[in-house]
Amino acid sequence: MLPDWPTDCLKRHDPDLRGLGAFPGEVAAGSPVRERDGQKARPLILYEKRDNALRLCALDRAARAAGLHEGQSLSDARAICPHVVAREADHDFLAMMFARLADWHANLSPVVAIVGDERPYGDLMLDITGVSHLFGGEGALLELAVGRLTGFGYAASGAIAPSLGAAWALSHFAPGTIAGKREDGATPTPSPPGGGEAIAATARASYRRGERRFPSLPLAGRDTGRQGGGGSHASNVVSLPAPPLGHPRDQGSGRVFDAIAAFAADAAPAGAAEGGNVADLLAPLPVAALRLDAEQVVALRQMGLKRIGQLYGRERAGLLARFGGTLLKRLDQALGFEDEKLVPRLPVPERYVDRKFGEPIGLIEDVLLSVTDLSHRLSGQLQAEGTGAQTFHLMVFRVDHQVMHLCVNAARATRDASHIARLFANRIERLTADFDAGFGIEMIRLMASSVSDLCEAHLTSFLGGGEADELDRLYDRMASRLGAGAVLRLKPLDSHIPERAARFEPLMARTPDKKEAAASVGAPRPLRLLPTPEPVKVIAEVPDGPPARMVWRRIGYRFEKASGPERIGVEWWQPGAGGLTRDYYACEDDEGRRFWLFREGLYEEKEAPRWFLHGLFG
Amino acid sequence: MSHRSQVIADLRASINGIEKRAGFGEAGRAGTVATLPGGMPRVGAGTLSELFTDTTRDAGAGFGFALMQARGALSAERPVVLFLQMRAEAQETGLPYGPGLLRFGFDPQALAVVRTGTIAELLWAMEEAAGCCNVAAVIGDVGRGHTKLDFTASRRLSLRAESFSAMLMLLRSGTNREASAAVFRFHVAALLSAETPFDARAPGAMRCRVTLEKGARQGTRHGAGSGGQDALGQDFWDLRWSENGLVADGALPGVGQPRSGTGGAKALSGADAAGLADRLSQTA
Repeated sequence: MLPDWPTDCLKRHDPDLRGLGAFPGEVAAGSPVRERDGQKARPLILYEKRDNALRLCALDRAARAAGLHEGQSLSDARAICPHVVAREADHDFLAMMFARLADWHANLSPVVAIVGDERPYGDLMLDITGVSHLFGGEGALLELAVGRLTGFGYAASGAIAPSLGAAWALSHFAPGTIAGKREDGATPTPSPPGGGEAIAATARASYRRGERRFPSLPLAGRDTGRQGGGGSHASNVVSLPAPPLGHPRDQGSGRVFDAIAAFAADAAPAGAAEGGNVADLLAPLPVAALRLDAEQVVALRQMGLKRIGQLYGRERAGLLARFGGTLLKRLDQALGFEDEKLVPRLPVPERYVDRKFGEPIGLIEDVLLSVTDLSHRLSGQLQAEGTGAQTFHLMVFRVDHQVMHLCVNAARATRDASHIARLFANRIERLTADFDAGFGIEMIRLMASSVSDLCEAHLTSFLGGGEADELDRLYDRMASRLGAGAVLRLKPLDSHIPERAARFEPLMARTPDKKEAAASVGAPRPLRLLPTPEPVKVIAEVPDGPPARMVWRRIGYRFEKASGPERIGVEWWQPGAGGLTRDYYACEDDEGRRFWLFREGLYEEKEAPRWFLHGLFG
Repeated sequence: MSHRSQVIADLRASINGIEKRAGFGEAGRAGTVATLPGGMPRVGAGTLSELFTDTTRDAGAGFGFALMQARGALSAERPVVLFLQMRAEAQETGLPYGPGLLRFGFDPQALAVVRTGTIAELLWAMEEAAGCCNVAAVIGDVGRGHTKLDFTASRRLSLRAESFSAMLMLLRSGTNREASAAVFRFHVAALLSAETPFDARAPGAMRCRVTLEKGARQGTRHGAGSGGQDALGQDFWDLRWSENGLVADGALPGVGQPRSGTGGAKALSGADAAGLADRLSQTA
């Protein structure tokens, strides 16, 4: 729904640009418009460097009305419209702001994705499976989503369709359409697919055996076995009348409008009479609605194929040969014959509880209190199911449509409310400096994922899990405050190269029972190993004499005793083969400090081998 | 006079109440250093100790002594020793190395390494770990002094250690002795290593001199030759690494003198003292 995202976003976030380019009398309600005479009607354009020229890449409505268009050179635009306000496009900023906006939409549906085929901003996709009844139906939901965006001052349009492709097409070229609307409006039952043949657009779609969500089409070469009982629609589709003329959008120019689109994978067909037949709805739309690239659109237009409906009866082999596989793929995706996965931006929660605030809250203490309360509620929910969760997410929705997302992990499944609350408290404490409630927080949601069964027996400490449990909690708390890679254990590995013989890995109290092969090496090994060996200056007898003197960190050492060399060759079967052989020496200076040194390379291998200090003995 | 002494006694009693100690003069068992049969001094659980080495270059000896203390605290109920270090310090003093620990006689599986970003986080983690009743010992590798690690911070740690009977150790380096609420302060200095049986030129088992700078020692003086009292009246132990832990090092060759002024019998020449002073100013 956001065709003018780049300019709208800038206008919202740059006070100098606020209220720019608004037509008289159509200033969006609620958006604070700074009344500035003379500036008010100035169009805003964004340009970028393309093919060694500055070209327009985004314009607002006023600019478009002034006759400017995308791809025009900046100097031309300035000549046509001298009072235009031009800014260089910052795509990263726009994408970041759009991602925030997308996250905020999690208050409508848990699955929100950005369709970034062309640009990383502009198209927002919500999976509203089983959600719409909470908002009073699909129509009301769509109205709400579009309405509040419009309220923020963004131009937005939307549509609801059973597949991702169709939703995209409709929201761009026929905004407001709700395809495949159900009559009953009942909550979809999340029953598992009856067989392995589900063609649901998302994994979470409800699907009953024997029903067909999408009308099947008499496309040549299509597997008729999948058409099932829907074949009766075929004649409807082919005999569609010519599409209505004068489509509101500038079709065919290759430019596609950005859109937010909601798609309801569970929209049952409910008969062709409903007017929600996807194929019918798509038929009059221009082919650009299929998310094709500009070349394909031009080629299709040259062949006289301007509408999607004109593609329906064509031979697939011919289309494939002439326009490439993407055309068929997009067509199938739009019609729901081919799966298209939505990649949700945020983790999809398995259980969640949330709390909405009548008045926005701002204090971090209030947030912590709410988290405690929510974790008790979530814990109750998990207990009722006999499950526990390992990963917990906290989403803090601010009134200025931004979302803060925090995540903590437990070493193993838990449903202990105080533990969960404490982990979040640690985590929040860590970012007190960055905590910014903005204009207030309107909703807090606590989600649990990686849910697994957790029976009472797992929780009692009589079965010998007591200390592991305590330690797990300690590590959880530390990891939640210090970061995931902070609590580590030493894992022995099978390697001769000293730095490869041990590795740090995240620690869990319940380590596997089998003792890893940790055979003691016959040769000396230091207690402390420097992560990076440090180069030292060494005086030693050539070729294999032990070091006699060393300068390390600008301090000289004289060695009294030394043992070595311990020769360690390169592991040729590992990456990094072709390195030099090392000769290790354990040396003790005249004050009893003991160091582990090595010479990188033998004198036969290298002209002047370098020496390094690698560790300190106890 | 008697009135005055009464007042002083009352004050002492109230301070003792605050301090939660058995008494200033007669410290409880936890507040003293016991000497094990082998000859190693051993701190009790529920105490905070500071292990000082003169420079960061000596970090190995301090770590070795701490590990041996921690090894004695390991049990079935307390199977883990935590080692805490700041990330930025890892290159300075090195990270614990599994094969080296194994060779030293410490099971690497029993060691958990916690790497923090700041000293505040490190102190927080130490406190948190002290509260866990399944942690045998906590070794905080702090290194040089920090303003965050002041008397208040060490007091917090000390109280925490006492109430959860945890063994806390701070590895420090440098010659400054800041005010600290630690019950014990040890100074660890490496000595020339022991003789190896078949190769006189090779470094042998670790040897060190451990001086008790602060805190009381329990019992009478142990066997002669392995320790005693230095010129300042501080107890010291000369220890040698063996497979069963640190043991008293009976035969003390003349060359094995500690190098710094703390326990050194040898007077420093002028040039040596100047060099020492330079180093001090660099590390302070």
